[in-house]
Amino acid sequence: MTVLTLKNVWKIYEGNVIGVEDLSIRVEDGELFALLGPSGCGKSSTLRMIAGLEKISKGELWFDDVLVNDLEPRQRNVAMVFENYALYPYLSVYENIAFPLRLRGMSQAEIDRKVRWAADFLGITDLLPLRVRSLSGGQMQAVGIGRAIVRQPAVLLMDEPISHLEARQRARMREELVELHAQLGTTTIYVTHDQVEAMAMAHRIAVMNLGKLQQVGTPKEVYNQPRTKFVGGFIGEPPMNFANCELSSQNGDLFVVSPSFKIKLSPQAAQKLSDYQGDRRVQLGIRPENISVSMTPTDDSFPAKVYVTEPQGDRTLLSVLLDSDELFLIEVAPDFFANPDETVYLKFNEPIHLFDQVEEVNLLY
Amino acid sequence: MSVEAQTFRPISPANKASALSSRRLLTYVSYLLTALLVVLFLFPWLWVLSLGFKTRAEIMSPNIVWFWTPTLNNYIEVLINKGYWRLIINSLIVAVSAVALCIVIGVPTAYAFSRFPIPGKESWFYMILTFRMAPAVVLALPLYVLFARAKLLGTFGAPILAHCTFTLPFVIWLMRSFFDDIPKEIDAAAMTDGYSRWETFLYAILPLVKSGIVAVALFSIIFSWNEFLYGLILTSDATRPVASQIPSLIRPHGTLWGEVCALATTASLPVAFLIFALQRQLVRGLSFGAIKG
Repeated sequence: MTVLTLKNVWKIYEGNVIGVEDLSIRVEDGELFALLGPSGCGKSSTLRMIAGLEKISKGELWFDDVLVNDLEPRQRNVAMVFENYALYPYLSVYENIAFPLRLRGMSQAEIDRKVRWAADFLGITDLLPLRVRSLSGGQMQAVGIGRAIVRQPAVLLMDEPISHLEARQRARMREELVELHAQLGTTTIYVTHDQVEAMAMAHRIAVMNLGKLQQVGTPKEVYNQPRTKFVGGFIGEPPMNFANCELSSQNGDLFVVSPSFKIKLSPQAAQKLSDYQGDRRVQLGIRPENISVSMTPTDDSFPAKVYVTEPQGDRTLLSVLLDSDELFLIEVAPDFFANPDETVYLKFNEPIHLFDQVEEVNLLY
Repeated sequence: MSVEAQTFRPISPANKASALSSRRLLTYVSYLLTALLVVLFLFPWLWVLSLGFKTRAEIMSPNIVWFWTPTLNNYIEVLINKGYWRLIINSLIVAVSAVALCIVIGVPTAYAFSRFPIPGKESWFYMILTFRMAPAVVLALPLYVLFARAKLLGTFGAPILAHCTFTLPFVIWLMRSFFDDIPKEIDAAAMTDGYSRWETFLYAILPLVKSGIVAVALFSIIFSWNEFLYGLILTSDATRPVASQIPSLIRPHGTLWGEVCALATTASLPVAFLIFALQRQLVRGLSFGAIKG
């Protein structure tokens, strides 16, 4: 049971390449915490620093009230699960799981009891006598997880544990991992580049990009209130639409204006922007499900040209071209159909997000 | 008939037969080429082998003597009467020590090259490799002076250290590629599971490159065993390896070809035996990537 605290942690590689920039995170006891971001965002470096596999260049890492910066990996009582499983190929499944226990000098009887407990827990008792080379990817990862949980670590670190599996197996493993975590209650840090995984599994998500923390929040928070344009665009499938516009005040009301549309902001949004002194040019962000489409003009609607209609069974994705040449992706009812180049009318529903051009921070956050 | 028409013509029985026989022909040709290659490689060796069992008159005869009564005189003369059997022991001492030294130093070095962020790593790596590329003569003179100062000249230490100049880069270079083939995550797993860096190297990673080490060591032994120049100039009569002593059988009144061949045959036996004994390990070690987790 461990609370994990990162205080202003930096990772600076050879040649002044910044891997992680001034990262501060607190992971609560028993939490399933996801580090999410594209490759090269610093999430794996962060995980490796927590494991002790990489030195922390600057900053502090605390496990409860112990500063662990200078502890070796084996002194930190962390266990890790790897994308490529990293099993010991010359050992049997049983010996792979027993490995960390043997290093701790446990008695054979206790090792046997714990290995069987872990194998039973993961439903892989049948595999115990097998060589790991003969296993499938999913089975190998189950062994990898078994090796990690068998010694009840203080912190469980998972580095893209299911990215190598095929889609259907991945979906099942997602559920199993959530179930596993619920039963073990071990503080877990889960690194992934797949926002679906992070959204589905984590209690809270830290979104990172280019070594910088973008936002920490529950899946709902990062989805509904993205703090930066990056978070807005990275989370959600299909992704958020963005359009360049300008803020303009008329008769005390605040509007966002683009060559394609002119939208009056809600009083709440206008309130939030009342102190805003920055650039009037902003980016509007809106999710595909927050746009209504009709074939005839309505109040506050504006025209756009149909580009492609993609029926997907449960829904249809409609891409349209705005007058400003910006392509928007919209989620519509499954039976919707429109011909290419046909004119349709769009209406933006709340929530609408506005991001400034320079820092790309959400102005309505 | 156009080419396309021919391509789409259904295969008639006659065609099938010709396709079959052409495949058989290919097999025969490849057998023939293999046989030719084997003869090409084996011929000099068989020639040496046969000369070792001939008398001087038979060897020097202007017509090749195909049938003769084998004699052991050359072997008895060179190995026992001249006492050259001890040179085989010398070669063994030099080769085994040099290779053991290179494995002990080279394998951890290769691991370091594979795993650690060493500043200027690739430059260092290629610098080490260039030692392997330099011809032996380039280093012979400096080594002679160096060993003379260090009072190593004429001891076993001289050829052992000299052989390291080419076996060590070879060991580092090949072992690094073996280590590079092993996912770094296995190191990470072992370290989080409870090993220190050294223990990880010794107990988690080394077992994975075992056959690689055997293959590399075997090659190094062969290099060292066959080395001529250092063995000749850096040693004394008491410490000279067998390969370097063969020229002493070239006498002013003529070369003792029978004894040369007897000695050469004897000298090649230990290495041949090693290769046969470790053949399986060798093949496994040389098939890169087979050790991936």
